[in-house]
Amino acid sequence: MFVALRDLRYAWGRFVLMGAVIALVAVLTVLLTGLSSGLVNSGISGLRAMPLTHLAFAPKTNSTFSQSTLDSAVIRSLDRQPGIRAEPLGLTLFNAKDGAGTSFSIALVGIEPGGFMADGVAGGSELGRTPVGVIISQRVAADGVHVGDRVTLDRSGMTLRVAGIAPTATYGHVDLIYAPIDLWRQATYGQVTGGALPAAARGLASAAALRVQPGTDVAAIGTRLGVEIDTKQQAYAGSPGYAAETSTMSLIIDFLYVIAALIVGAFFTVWTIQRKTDIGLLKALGASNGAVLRDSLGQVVLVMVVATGAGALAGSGIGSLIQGGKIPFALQSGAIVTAAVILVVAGMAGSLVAVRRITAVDPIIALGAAA
Amino acid sequence: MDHLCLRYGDGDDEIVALDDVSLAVDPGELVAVVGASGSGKSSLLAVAGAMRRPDSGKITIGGLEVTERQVKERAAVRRDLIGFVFQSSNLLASLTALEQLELVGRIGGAPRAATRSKALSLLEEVGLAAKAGRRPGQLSGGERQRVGIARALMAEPAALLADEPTSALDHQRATDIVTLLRDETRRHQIATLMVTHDRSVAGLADRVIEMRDGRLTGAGASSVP
Repeated sequence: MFVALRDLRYAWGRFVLMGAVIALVAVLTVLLTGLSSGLVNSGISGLRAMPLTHLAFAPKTNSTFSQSTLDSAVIRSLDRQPGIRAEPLGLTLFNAKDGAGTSFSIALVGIEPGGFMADGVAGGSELGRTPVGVIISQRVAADGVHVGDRVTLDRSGMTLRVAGIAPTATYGHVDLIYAPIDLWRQATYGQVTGGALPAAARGLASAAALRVQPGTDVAAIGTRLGVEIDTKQQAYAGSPGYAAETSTMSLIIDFLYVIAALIVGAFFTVWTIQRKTDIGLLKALGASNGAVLRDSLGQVVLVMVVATGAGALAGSGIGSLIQGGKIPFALQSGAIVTAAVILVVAGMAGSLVAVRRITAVDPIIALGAAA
Repeated sequence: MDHLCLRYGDGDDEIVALDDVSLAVDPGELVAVVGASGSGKSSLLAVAGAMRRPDSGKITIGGLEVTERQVKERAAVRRDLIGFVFQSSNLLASLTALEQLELVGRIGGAPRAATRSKALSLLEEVGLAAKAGRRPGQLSGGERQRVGIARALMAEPAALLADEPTSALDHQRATDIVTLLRDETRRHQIATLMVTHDRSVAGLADRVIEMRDGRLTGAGASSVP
């Protein structure tokens, strides 16, 4: 690093320019990473927070709550399997209105009062009380809906009494509202509160929430009972738009890594060509290829780490201003560090093309021979 | 150098760069090789400096035969046994005069404190101690070449090879540089080979050899004993 550090000091202007470009790429990467995490949270945070390990869906429904319906017999059969606890789980998207007539979207989640799902939801014990009420998420509460208020569902006209507030959780970018499973059935199958549920709708659910002991052969059980059993993570894909959003964001971020590699590669290619005589001189003075390579790669690492670090810090600062607003944005230190490390590695990979030229430089050019 | 031959292709032609060249330079002796462009002077330095392998012949520096060594070993030979003074000094623009010398110590893995002390002492020896912190752009042509000579002495080489060290200097400065080169050669007991096209400064050497068409000629030419 003897020459590399002095080159950085001497030609600081061009390294600052180059570093600024990398820092901007890092800012963009952090912002996109935050946006990606925010979108993921907005898509599946409710499902991720549910106290279950697996979900059982009707076959060929692609882990999609809106396409799947299971009856109580199947869910009971699942619950009887060794190593499995099963409960009905309903999930339907609705438009709703608060008392002031303000519309908002919700995902109405039906769970069994007193079951393991209700135990795992903050305020879930309220679902077992009379009169029947629902648990809304904090974000809905922040918009002016309080405990004791009523929320009206658009489609069925059913009115839900707010009995409690749970931390914000979303599915398909809309807030979850937890309801007792019977209330969910009435809302979903079109029965206004108080009306009797049709016999055919009794015991139905979108899916079954499962708690599976490790080592249980869920695939075999699913085949035998005619259901599709997914892990919780596999079920994320069923969230509306989830796969398209995550793959789009990943593609954009991956392109940024490629762009960073190309920028760094191009810069260090020009830099290496400019330094060809110096490199020849170093070799003429007895420096080995390895020593010159280490010096140059050290320079790349230093520039990349400093520029990426500065960019990541700036991006985190900007992100903290965005976070908590209307844009789905979540700064996650793990994701930012991972993105920064990948950016540095991508830059180094790009520079390898350039510094590889170093090994080909002939020390004889120090004597003025044609390079 | 013992019966060195070097040929290379130039399009369809074959150029004989070195044609059975033999030359011995003693420790403390400055030998000047003069000749026109294309006479083979640069090829002689490239082979003597372990940058090119000859087609045939043998090179011995400080009692060590270096002809057949591989790339990495040749780099070590240059690092440990040979000092170079280049045309136009060939200093690194980002390094100060002191750092140009310290660089050689770093390449050789010498301790930092000892390297710095030795570099300062050599700069003192060439009259540039006061300008140790200046970069090449802040030095005159003669000063740059003095730094180049001090740098060549850093590794305490057995041989010093100077490639047209006065080509960018006026006559007075050229004379001063070759005089310094001769004095340092004697002081450090180095075998110094200088190639130049400037016959007026070549006369300051202990021995002058003419080179023409890849052959050494003239009274100073000698065979390896």
